[in-house]
Amino acid sequence: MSDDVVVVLVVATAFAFAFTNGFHDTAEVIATSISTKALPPRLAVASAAILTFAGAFISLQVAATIADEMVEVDAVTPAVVLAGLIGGLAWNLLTWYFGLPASSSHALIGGLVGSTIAAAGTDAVIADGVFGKFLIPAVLAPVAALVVSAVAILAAYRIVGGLRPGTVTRAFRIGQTVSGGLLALAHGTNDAQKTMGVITLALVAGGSLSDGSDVPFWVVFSAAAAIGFGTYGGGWRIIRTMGMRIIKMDAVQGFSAQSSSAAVILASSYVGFPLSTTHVISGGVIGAGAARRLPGVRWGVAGNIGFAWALTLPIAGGVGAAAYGVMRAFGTGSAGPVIVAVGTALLIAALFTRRARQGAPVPAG
Amino acid sequence: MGVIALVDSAALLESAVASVLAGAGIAIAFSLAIYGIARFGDARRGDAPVAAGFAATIAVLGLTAWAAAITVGILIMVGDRT
Repeated sequence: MSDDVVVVLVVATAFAFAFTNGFHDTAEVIATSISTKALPPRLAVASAAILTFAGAFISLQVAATIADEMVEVDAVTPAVVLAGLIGGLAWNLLTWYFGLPASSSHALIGGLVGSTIAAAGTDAVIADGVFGKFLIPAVLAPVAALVVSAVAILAAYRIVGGLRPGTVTRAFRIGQTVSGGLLALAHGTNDAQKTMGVITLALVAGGSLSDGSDVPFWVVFSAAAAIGFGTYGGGWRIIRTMGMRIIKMDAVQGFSAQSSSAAVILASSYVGFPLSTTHVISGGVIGAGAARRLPGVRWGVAGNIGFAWALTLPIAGGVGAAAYGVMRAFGTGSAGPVIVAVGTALLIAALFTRRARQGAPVPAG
Repeated sequence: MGVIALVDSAALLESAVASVLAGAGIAIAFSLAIYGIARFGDARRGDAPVAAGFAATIAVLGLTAWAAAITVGILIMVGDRT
């Protein structure tokens, strides 16, 4: 009975996480389209929401990786998953508050690893999965996106360099509506699956599913809906950072950054690497800027983003471990998880209220 | 050395090669399409039918390659669904 209560809390928290993932990460997905004026902001957000929702149904490789290959299922309880989710959620909200495009994926896996270590020690973490399927691809993916984007932009400039700038800009804006859509689809395939994987892990840990079971359809649909609604909610603060503050982009750069990022995300999802879409898109944007003109990249902003990335795993892991510690102090039956979940909900409400009072920037159009 | 051994290097290589080919390929194909369309317009206005035909061919090939790359990417993902 107490496990059922905790599983319900996990599902609710996972949907809250997927919602924040939507408004946090998908802001990064559409930022390039908005900054180059390829699409009006509202239309960009709405189309990204629909395509992210659709993308969530395309592949389940990443969900399987999260559910089976990060932590030992036998050592995980629904309370551990809940604490991990709280770690990820806390980092997502903190970075949203400061307008930093940090990784929801790393926050989630960091939180999960932190809470698992707090509950069952380091032996419960699957080193092969965490290093081989997560950490190393996570480091290499943004570098790959940067290189691919730089190659793409140099090739594109070489081909269209002699044409009239107005024609090129108009054409690449049209191309961006497709490449932006592909990126939103890729984002849905990779990011919604992380929520699905975590819910599946909690269902297995709570005994509602057997180990190795397929992800239930209601989990797929609900996670897709949560991330889609989050996307529609929009993360305008992060859009501003990604779309305008790293580099001032033209349509060719926006197209190259989006196409390269989508290619890296789709290729990685295919082989089951749960990489960070944030890191990949940031790598793509920086690659597109640096290949054109190295000083054109605002390296200070890029450095702040890099600093936030470096802090993601330890802070999310620390919060995940602390959340589990508080739960254990109050009892891991259902009292501890309920107290921690209510406390988290109150903190989230306070954060949103404070941000609303300060007034988040609202886009024109 | 130990950490390197944990990586599924075949999957990583497959992912990297596919990323480079698809990312750069999409940008090159679309750029060629734009180049072809723009040159086709210039050639037609300049009454140069051979050049216009050549430019139109580049545009069609570029657009086809671009659309095919996107379609193949989505089909691979859909095929991976199960």
